[in-house]
Amino acid sequence: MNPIVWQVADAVLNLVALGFQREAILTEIEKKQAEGATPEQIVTALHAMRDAAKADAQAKIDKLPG
Amino acid sequence: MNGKKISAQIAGGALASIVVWLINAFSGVQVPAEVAVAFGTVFAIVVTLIVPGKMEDDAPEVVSKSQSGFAMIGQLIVALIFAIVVVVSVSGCSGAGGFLRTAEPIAVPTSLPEAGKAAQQAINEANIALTAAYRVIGDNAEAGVWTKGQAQGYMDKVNGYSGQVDEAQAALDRGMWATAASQAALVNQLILALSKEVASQARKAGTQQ
Repeated sequence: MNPIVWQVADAVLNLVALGFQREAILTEIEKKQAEGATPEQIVTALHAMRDAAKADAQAKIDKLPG
Repeated sequence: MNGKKISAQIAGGALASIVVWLINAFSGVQVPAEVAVAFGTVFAIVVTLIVPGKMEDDAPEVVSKSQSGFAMIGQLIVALIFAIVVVVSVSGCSGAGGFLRTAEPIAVPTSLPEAGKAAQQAINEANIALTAAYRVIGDNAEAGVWTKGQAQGYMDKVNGYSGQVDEAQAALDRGMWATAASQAALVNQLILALSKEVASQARKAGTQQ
């Protein structure tokens, strides 16, 4: 397939993926807020979610060959 | 009305909704529902008009120009309906409560002064963007979309931004509101730039061709 087509398709897919992930994170936060979490707890939760995602991504990269 | 034009209207509405949703998700600007409807209407009408096919084909019994004009108005009304239904229900505009809605602002500690609240909001936004970036990097690595070098390169960049966000949070915790706000705003700009870079990154299969 034409590389330009790949690039355009990947650009769209990655943008959509980023958007969906953002929606998922916001949903998780809203759920915590609905459960009565304080703003301070939300701030802490956001940092924790970020660090968990970081560790998970690094673990997946480490599994790649090369 | 023929299927080709209906498909074109659906495609136009869907494309418009994606554009509006991306603006809502990434630009920091929430597009009002009425603006999205106007945008979707124009989009759907344009694709209706540019898709080949005579109006007479859509309504064979139409014989006069005035009747053909009514057929055109009918198509434009359908385009408007598609625009309203698709754009408002999907794009997550303010006041529309769409499927892919844009969330309400996350609550920040009420004990903070206004400058501190703004800084905390920016830090929260940065952490959300960073978490999304990490997850996409992980997903792409797991799926083998990127090489190890590509994925690690993005990880290193995002890790750098995470460090800056932590510094901004530390500044905020020390009461340095202006420093925290400016640093968080800068990081958000950098994350936005990185998101665009990630989005434009071709998969390894594409680059190898």
